[in-house]
Amino acid sequence: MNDRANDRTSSRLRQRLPFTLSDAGILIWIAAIGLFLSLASPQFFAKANFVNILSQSAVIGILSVGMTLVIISGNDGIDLSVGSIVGISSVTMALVLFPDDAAGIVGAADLLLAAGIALAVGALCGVINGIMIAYVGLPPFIATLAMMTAARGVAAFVSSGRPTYGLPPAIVFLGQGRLFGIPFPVVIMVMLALAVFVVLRVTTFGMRIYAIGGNIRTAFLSGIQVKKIQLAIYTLNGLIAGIAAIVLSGRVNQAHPEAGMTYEMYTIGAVVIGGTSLMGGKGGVIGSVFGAILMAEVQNGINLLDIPVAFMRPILGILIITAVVIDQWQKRRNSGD
Amino acid sequence: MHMNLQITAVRKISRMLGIWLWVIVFSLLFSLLSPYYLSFLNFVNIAKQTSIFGIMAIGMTLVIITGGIDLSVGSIVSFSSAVFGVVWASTQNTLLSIGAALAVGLLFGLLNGYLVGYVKLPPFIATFGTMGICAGFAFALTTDSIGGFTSRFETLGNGTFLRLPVPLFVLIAVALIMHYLLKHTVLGLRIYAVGGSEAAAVLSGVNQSRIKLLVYAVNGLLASLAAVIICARIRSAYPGIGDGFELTVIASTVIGGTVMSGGYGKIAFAVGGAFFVAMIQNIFNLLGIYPFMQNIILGVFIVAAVLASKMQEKKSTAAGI
Repeated sequence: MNDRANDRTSSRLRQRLPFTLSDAGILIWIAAIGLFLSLASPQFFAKANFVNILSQSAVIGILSVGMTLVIISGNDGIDLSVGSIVGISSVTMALVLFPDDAAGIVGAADLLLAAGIALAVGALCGVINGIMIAYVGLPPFIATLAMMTAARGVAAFVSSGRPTYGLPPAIVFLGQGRLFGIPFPVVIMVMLALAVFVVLRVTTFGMRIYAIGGNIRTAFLSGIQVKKIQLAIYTLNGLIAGIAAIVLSGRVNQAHPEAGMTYEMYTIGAVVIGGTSLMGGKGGVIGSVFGAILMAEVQNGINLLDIPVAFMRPILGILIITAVVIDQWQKRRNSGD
Repeated sequence: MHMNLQITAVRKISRMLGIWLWVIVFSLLFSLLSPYYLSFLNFVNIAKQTSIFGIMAIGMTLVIITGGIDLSVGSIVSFSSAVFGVVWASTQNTLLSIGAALAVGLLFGLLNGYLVGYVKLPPFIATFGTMGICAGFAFALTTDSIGGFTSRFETLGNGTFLRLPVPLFVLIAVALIMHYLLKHTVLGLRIYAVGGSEAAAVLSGVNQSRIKLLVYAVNGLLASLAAVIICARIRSAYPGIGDGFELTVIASTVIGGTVMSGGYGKIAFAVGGAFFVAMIQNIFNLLGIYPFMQNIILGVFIVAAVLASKMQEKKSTAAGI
């Protein structure tokens, strides 16, 4: 009983702090790896390189914000389809921009329409995921696996498998431009993360997401409309994947039907490294964004140190396992057994 | 009354046949779409494809029965394949190469099983990690395709026996062994028990850590067996060959009716699931439909299969079975 009371005060304390303890943990990791890389490579410790790392992390960082909501909501919540949604949103955007299959001048209205449709397509995929999971009752892994396969197929179908090169300057700005020296994708990532952070901490919607992830039955019995919340979460995640699609298209200045391939894996990796538990009910978006930054930092280090690219995935794999083992170890120590 | 009896009989048969019923129904349908579909030669084609994913689906079924998942099998295929090629290139010894490839699968299967069973990591995380490790190691070892194997070894992938493809016999052997293990041994009962209710399994004295270690090890071993057959079939070892296989294998397993939450699954149906997926790919190729349409249809079938098994589950509980 005493333990539980302690736990309650500490969680109340944690709620008052802007970051959780595991967020601090990942900052230490980022600093430690940074220290190592500064010693190992003279090019690492430079403002230009830091900016480079941040902009490398942006697309995965944006995706990880939505994925965090899905994973916090628990009950095996996962979304394997975000990479494919990035693909389908990019190519539909290009289709609206250049219906005649040829690049040309695009008016502001068409531009907004194209971006809006990219977001709508993402949200629609999310709605289908949400209906399949919340109302039809499919396991999230299966529903989103099917969406991953199907959306990639549709992306290839509507684009006839061909990428579109040369997007309008406004889209390219979203991916490559800078605001006060900060890459625009990073601005989007930070603003999105802060907005969702506030939603999670302050609104009832946010609290309900944690409640569903903690115990779905209790949440249901205390009057939360569990299915509606789940639908909203997957829809929001699809929408955020649409945002990532626009940013990525601008960054590489093309809309490719294979855009975002395997991004779901890196995104889940960022969320897990950021300290959100796959069991649901705990975690936060700030940690996930730091997770994405840490992965970009590691990738940067691999490039600078001339380590074969093949070692990127093993290092990430080991990082993910280590992060979860440390997390479990801390939990066991805190609970005292 | 008489009607009722008939309906129960139909239901019983459909439950007994499971996915194979749909294999038959769709085969008839496909034969109308393409006259070539129901030919012996085409069956051999489908069977070849089925053998590889069927062997892997059997392993995945064991894992999913225990309530787990294994995302690393595709990467284990890649790494085993790379090791096979490299060992062959330096020793020209077929048996040694096969042994080394199988050892890779067993080793990473054991690692998965240790992480899930003893370290108690969520299976998704543990196998997600080893997936990255194996995929990277495969390319770190070699970036080239390696070929020039003996023709005797290549029979393992391309040869025929009694006019049937050799890998089909490997699949049948693996299926029979695993079916016996699941249905007729205490170990099999325990595997189901771990997935059905972990708490009950623990209370009745089942060492669930050891069961999980074993199940993931077998799954890794079967993935590397599939890798060896692939090397023989395409006559080369390529470090990226297994990329994305895990999803096809999981789809096959689920289409075969294995329930993701564990406790239920059948070897024969897993093979049926793999056959069904191969069949769909085959008819699309025959009809010359774009490969990306296959993706859309496959997605639809995954959802349909899980819905069907959910409905059956509901009926069974309603009937008190």
